[in-house]
Amino acid sequence: MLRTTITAGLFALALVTLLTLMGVFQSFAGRDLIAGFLSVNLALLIVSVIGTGYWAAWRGGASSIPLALAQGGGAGLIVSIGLLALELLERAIDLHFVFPNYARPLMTALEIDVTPLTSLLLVVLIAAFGGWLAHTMPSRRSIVLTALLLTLLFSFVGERLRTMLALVDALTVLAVILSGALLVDALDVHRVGTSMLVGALNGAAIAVAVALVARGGGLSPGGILRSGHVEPVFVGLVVSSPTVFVLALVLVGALGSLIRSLPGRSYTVLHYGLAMILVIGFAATQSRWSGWSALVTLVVFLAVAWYTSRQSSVSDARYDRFDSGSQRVVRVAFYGLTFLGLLTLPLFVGQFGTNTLNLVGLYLLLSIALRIVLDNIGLFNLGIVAFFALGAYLLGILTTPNLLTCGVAVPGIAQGCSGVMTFWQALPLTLIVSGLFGAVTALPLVRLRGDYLAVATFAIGEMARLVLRADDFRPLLGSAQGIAGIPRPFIDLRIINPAWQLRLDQEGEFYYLILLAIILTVMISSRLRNSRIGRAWRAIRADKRAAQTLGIDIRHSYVVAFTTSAALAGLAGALFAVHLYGAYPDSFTFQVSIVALGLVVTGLGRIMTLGIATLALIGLPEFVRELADYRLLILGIALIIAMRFVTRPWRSAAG
Amino acid sequence: MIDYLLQIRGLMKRFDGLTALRWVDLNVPEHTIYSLIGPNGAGKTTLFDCIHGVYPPDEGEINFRGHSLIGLSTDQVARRGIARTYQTVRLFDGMTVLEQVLVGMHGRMRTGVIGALLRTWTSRREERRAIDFARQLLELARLSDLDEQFPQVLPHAAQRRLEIVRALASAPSLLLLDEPAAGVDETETEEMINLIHRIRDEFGVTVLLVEHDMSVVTSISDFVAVLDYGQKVADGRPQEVQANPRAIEAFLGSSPDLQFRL
Repeated sequence: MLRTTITAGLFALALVTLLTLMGVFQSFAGRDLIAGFLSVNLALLIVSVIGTGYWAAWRGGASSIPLALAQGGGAGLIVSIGLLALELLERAIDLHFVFPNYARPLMTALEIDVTPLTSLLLVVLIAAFGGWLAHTMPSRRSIVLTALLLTLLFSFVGERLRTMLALVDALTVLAVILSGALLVDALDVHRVGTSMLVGALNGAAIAVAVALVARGGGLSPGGILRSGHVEPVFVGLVVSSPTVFVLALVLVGALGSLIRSLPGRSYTVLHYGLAMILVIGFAATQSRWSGWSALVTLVVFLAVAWYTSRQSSVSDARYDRFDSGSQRVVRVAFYGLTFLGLLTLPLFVGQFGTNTLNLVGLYLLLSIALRIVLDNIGLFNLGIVAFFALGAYLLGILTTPNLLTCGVAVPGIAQGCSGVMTFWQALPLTLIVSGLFGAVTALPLVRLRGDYLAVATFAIGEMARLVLRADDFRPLLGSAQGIAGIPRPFIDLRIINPAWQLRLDQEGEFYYLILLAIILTVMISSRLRNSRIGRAWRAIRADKRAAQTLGIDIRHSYVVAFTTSAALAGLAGALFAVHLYGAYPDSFTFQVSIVALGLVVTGLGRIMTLGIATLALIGLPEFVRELADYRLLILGIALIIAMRFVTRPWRSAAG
Repeated sequence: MIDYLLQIRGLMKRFDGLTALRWVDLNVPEHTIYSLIGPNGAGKTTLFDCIHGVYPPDEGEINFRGHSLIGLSTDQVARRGIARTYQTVRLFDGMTVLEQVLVGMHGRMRTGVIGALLRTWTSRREERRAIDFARQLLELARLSDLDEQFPQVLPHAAQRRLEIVRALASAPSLLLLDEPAAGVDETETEEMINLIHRIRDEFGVTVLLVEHDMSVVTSISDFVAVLDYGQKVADGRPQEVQANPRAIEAFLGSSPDLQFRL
């Protein structure tokens, strides 16, 4: 018992020392999570200490609360003594000579004058809390951990989120959805259509009420709708375009009235979404991301985690009682609400946020493309970057003047290049060619298994990289300079109305193209997965021989899967090139394959989880530049955690 | 002369000097239950593997409805109408009970990528029909109310039955069952025998099965062939074989629990 505690403590100490000497604490020093209260390196230290306590108590069995506390605290004591010893050592000899980024973890993190004894005590206490976590019931633990993690996450990006929407925006949306659901309950409505009608009317009523308040001066400075530091984004519409405002709330009300009879998982997801809106709304009332913001975040997420853990099964049961037609309506309502949220997102997150979302979207596209092969057939494809690059370069070649489109190596200005295509002409061609390449690659791969397959796909990715850099192809691929000047898609509807033309130059406009591509890709992926073809894929993944025994042609299945996957990866690449206004070889390294692979594995086979994973691993580092250096480290940790779950039968037929 | 569904002539299979099958002849008439028995290592599963295109025989002929199966791959043999189960349960992880049976219908369905993506009228109709037929098969295997479950939660005997109806889903004319009653208790064995009878009678499927359990073999089979050290030592009606001295010798020479119970 004592031994496991000491071992855990020593392991954790080694880890924290390593992080210290590497300078992780140093690189985060001075960045506040909660202004003047909690810095990132302190949070990091706290998280590692909680982890230490948890680990020690978990390894030690943690059969009773005092024991768990003692085991956690004991491990914490070892860590803190070790760190203090390191600091004493640092006073005696100059560690910076060998480890230039070394910073005292305890003293630097606390940034206040604490005696060594106080810091020691604090660490022990926090570690004991970790020990308690290991002892407590799994349901309670997951509530606490979820809330803590989300609070931490929100604090990271708090300053950015704070200006997204005002409190009135959040409250209006929440009021429409929650009061609609309560009204449906109170009126004892059981039919889907009636519920939606009640919700819609309720939404309209609230919209009119808000409009009346706004007309009464609520939106003028100092008015009741103007509390806080952020101008109302959504409620602001009541003046500029009242019809849109009312219609939006009617729609939200109609769809939201079904919130209490959603399938359990959707119910939980939607409630977390609403909690997020509330938290952001509250943060908008503060002049910066303060201790209050963090506290409210913690409380709201604790409440929502606790509430959904109890209520989701109730909601699930209601959903099950519906007939299949109503169930379909309920599902559509959920997707509709999610879609509405996604549709309006660029309004809230600003230029930088939209740009980040676009990047996240592109990675999501690539991951879904990879998922078709990885999750369905279970082929370890390390070469997805090849198809990503193929899509980008094909689109680049077809839409810019070059050897192929103009017939001369260096086109002059005077020459009319008749071969240059528009984005819309080039895209289908890009998809088809990418798909064909996928089919061709699949043929030799059919004969390979496991490790050999991984190596072969890795080679395909590397070949792509080398071809892009090769001088031999300079006239077409531009070698190291790549292809510059790829134009953004131009939507030309001037035939219908002379004013209807749009070049998707704004990130906020381009966002919708990516959103459309994601929806299409998700649809393609899920429809295939649940069809005869997808069932054959999954059968091959589970047992190749048995699948063959049932008459499934492995080669044919591989070719179809690779073709689809490659075409979709090509789509992601094409959009990526347009996003960057060019295709450059540096964008297409092995790391892209690894990141996509990591995302798919951490996505645990579900699109929703994949989206969250992409948001966390691609989006977050954009907001928190300090994290970008550790992106692969975090991805690695996420992978290890995900792998522990992958061995369980987590997959369901719905996918 | 009787028209045989499956005719095997002079089949030879060697593995690095070990002869697994030696000049085996086998004639399986249509709409019968034909059992292969023999001590461990007699070559029964090897015979199945040769029929089902896992590896080619070194010599000999395998004719199914008058067409040779030599050189065909497993999935091609399956599409010719020969389904098979394995000695160990090989259900697909991560797929529901219903989906397992739908996979069995793979070769009979036509929906391609385009049909699946556009959910065309024909593809939806095919899917509906497939699901209807799958439910009928699940009813046959008494698994109707478990169709949304994952196979891991089923008891062993239910998994075996599921595997058999999954093979049956491909609407084969010949079903190869490798020890369908292995690890299944007595009452469930009854049920298994019943299931196999219904497969022959209601679906008109010819069954070729390998079995150790003699009570199963005698109560189920129309014909029996005995294999010993890769050679067929006897065949015919169960009663004839039980009286055949070479068959008795083959079993007396092996472990006692495999002896005939006369």
